[in-house]
Amino acid sequence: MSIKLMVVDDSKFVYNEMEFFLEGTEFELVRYCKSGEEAIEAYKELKPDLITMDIILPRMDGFECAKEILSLNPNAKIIFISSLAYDDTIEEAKEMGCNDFLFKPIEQDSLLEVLTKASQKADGGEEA
Amino acid sequence: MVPWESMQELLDDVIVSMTKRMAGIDMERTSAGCPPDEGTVSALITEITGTDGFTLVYHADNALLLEIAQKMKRRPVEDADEVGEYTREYFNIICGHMISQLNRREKSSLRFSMPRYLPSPFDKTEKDQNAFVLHYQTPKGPAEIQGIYTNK
Repeated sequence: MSIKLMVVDDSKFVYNEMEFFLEGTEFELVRYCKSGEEAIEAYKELKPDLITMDIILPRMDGFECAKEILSLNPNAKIIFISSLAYDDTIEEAKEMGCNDFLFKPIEQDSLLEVLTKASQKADGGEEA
Repeated sequence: MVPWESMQELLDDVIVSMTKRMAGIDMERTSAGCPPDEGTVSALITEITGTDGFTLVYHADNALLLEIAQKMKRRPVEDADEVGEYTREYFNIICGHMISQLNRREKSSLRFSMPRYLPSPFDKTEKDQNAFVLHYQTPKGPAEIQGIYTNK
């Protein structure tokens, strides 16, 4: 049974890389969202197992979007992917309860490791 | 103020390593510039703010930017808009790495704006002063990156 992944990033580059790296794996790309608003609606519809989230997005940033999704489901699994390696950014991501953080450009091994780790974390409970 | 030598060193390291990583292209430092010819050269621009303020402008031969975009997309690009889209992300990643490392090293708090793509050379005004210029040659053509103080 495949693990459903939603990608939130306004850059096609990340989506292309995900498609390429995840082909033939247990991870299935179910939706690509270019904005936080789109991601929230898609989450309600699809309830993906995992989400990768860029931080810099048009209008609503990745942190705001993640907070919104976590308010819908505190057990949502979110992995931030960004080119920003500011210490305060990483700190904020951890405090929010994100599962992991990857830096662009992503590498296949790191991506698979992080996705596998996140998918193996137990779900605590029901959606809010 | 961030020491320019530190910035140039980091920028050089990041541009070369990231261009190789994302597009498999080798960039070699040279003394020759990237001629600002309309029609053959495009620009990627970002504004740096925080403990220091300046503009970073990356000029590159269109053939080089096309190659970078196609390597990033892993297939042929459709049009100039796609070149712009992928190369903006390319420069975004370079800036992210450079600024993050610089902030750690120099204890600065610099930020950068989302890069914009210009299908022509960046038009400097008379008041703009070059802080530094790094020149490169690649198998697909020249490139250069300038740090520009802008007097507003």
